[in-house]
Amino acid sequence: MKIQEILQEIYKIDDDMKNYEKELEKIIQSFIKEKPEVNIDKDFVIRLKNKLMNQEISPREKTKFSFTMPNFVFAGAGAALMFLLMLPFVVDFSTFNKTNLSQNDSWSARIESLQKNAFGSLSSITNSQDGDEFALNESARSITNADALEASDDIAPKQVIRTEEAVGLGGGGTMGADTVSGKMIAPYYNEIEYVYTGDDFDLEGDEDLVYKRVRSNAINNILANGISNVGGGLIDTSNFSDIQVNSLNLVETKEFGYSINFNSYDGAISLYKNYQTWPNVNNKCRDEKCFEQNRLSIEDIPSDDKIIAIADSFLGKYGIDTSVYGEAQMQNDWLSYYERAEDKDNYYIPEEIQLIYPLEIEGQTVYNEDGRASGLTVSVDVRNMKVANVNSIRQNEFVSSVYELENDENKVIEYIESMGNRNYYRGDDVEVNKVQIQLDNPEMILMTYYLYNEEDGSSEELFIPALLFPVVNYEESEYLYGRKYVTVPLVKEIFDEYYQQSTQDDDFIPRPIEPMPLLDREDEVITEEIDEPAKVENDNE
Amino acid sequence: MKNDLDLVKKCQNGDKESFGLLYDKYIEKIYSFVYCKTHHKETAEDIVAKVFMKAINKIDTFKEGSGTFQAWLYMIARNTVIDHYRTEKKDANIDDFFDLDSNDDIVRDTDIKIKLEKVEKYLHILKSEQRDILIMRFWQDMSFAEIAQVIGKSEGACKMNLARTLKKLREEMPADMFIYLLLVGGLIR
Repeated sequence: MKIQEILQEIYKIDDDMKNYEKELEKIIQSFIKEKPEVNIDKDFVIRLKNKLMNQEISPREKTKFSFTMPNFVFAGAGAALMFLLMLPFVVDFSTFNKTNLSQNDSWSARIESLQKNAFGSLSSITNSQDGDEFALNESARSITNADALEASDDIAPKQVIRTEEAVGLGGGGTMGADTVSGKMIAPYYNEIEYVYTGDDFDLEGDEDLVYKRVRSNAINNILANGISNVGGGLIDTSNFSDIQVNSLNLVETKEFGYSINFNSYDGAISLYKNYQTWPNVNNKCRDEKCFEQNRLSIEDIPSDDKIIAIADSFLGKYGIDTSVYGEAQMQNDWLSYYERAEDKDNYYIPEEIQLIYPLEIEGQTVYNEDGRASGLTVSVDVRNMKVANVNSIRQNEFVSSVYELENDENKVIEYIESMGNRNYYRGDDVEVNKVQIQLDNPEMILMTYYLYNEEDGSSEELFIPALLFPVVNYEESEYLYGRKYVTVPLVKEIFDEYYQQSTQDDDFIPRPIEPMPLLDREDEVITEEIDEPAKVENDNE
Repeated sequence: MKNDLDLVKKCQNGDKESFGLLYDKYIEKIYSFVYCKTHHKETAEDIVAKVFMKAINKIDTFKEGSGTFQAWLYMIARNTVIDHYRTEKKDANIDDFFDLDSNDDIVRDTDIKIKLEKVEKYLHILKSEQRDILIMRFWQDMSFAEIAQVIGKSEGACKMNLARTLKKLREEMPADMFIYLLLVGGLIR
């Protein structure tokens, strides 16, 4: 009876296990049978109880906390009610009584288990991605590497359009300072090769949990009811039916006030500075000199610890639940570019520094497909030493379902080493710059993945098991490649799809567009001759 | 019979006798769990004493609605065992007796060695969390809801974990083991 009870619990999440029922019964039976009889020393029991009864228990103090309602201007008569109704989703009052023995109740309450493959097919063949290329798609990655394109002039190649080529492209004229100096484009291509240089690794298990974020309609319904009669005499809103409130904005009108956007469609709250109430030192500038004088210098940037402390304090003050997030990670890519810049004096120092509190689902950190942590993002205004914005404040609840995984390590390595653009046709006699991206030992992570619903155009946010490979020679390849990590999704149907695409032997793969480096103007410039306009004869003459 | 929550509330208001009742209810279960993970009487007693001392000193942190008192107690017990081994062996990878290497200086009671003879090597190949879930579900009769609270994960994750454990054991446990069980169980003669 007990054995069947245990088996039925497991079948609920993985009914394929029924195929091995007889064997599983025997295994469970063997362990139940071999349960050791443990005899406790009665004297020990009495001694310990006596000791405990001599302990004093301090009566619990009433939990005291106060929540100061921010000084918000309300958009309408029902908005105050709406805001108060929304508070439970944003403020975690239990955090006021934290101790070291806080109970591990978060995930039991936040995750509902569904049957195997409950989310249907995860393949992008049947589910288009939400507009993003994959980390698996090397050509797309090299095209859109904004980091490389924003790097200092003397390090990263910039894309420059010659005057004659700009004609007809819609933009008119050329772009970039380099055209002023007379630089030309030189045609060479980066041939990128991935090599795994880490240790052997094992992929255990052929199945694992995929999580899906739950969108709650509760906010919609409450808000809609609250504002059903707020037409203000200009419109009778009671005649509308099936109302949903997709977005609501509240603003603070005091100095350094904030604007809060409640987006119930995305299920997220964003908070950002109300620019009208924040001082802007450049408002009175009328010339470049004034702007230059107001620019921040590197010495104005506080330490990471101080920035994190500002963010932590802000989140605590406004009761923003951080229980499902890890510690703040600084996003200091700009700093690495600054350190490489030759002209540091004129390098733009950002006014806002970003941090990410990475989402952690059941102990696993969540990353985006580009290898950056995913979660709660906070920006700190370093001029005013205050939080500038907070994005993706969410009610973190999920459902989970078991999916089959790829667990052949050799296949994974074969796949990542087949990425890159070595097979792209780029013409004869073209100079090729070979770039080898070396990858180190992977780590199991959860990766964000969007499941597109073609019927209603919506996307659902999933978190799938994946491997995160760090780029070993990031410093060398940074400005051509720009990513510190490569991710590989392990859900089998997704992996298989990209494995097929990446390892197939095509005769020809279209050449991707790449940013090109510069050459001095030595080669002959081919210019178009513009013909004289045809003379129009006047019939009346 | 008063339920656990009522007793906890009384404890939180300073009533030691209520804690005594909780102690009487759970001492043997907690000792059994800890002993299965330490295999040594004196070590188990030392750890169990720490568990209940922590429980009585931190009883005010137990929150209604966040799980059962039993799960909370098991969580303290599990963490205390882990702390014991990691401190004693100065190794963050050792969570209990089964993680010890044969070269380590192992102190162990003889009788449990005999009792676990048939399944011990299979417990050794499992990871700490897999082993704990197996022990709690098979030997301690805890529900997955409670196990999830102890481990700090969802029920689904715990069930998934046990499913993987069973798959692994299926690969490792030989056919003659099943025959032995069938013999012992009187199903074949």
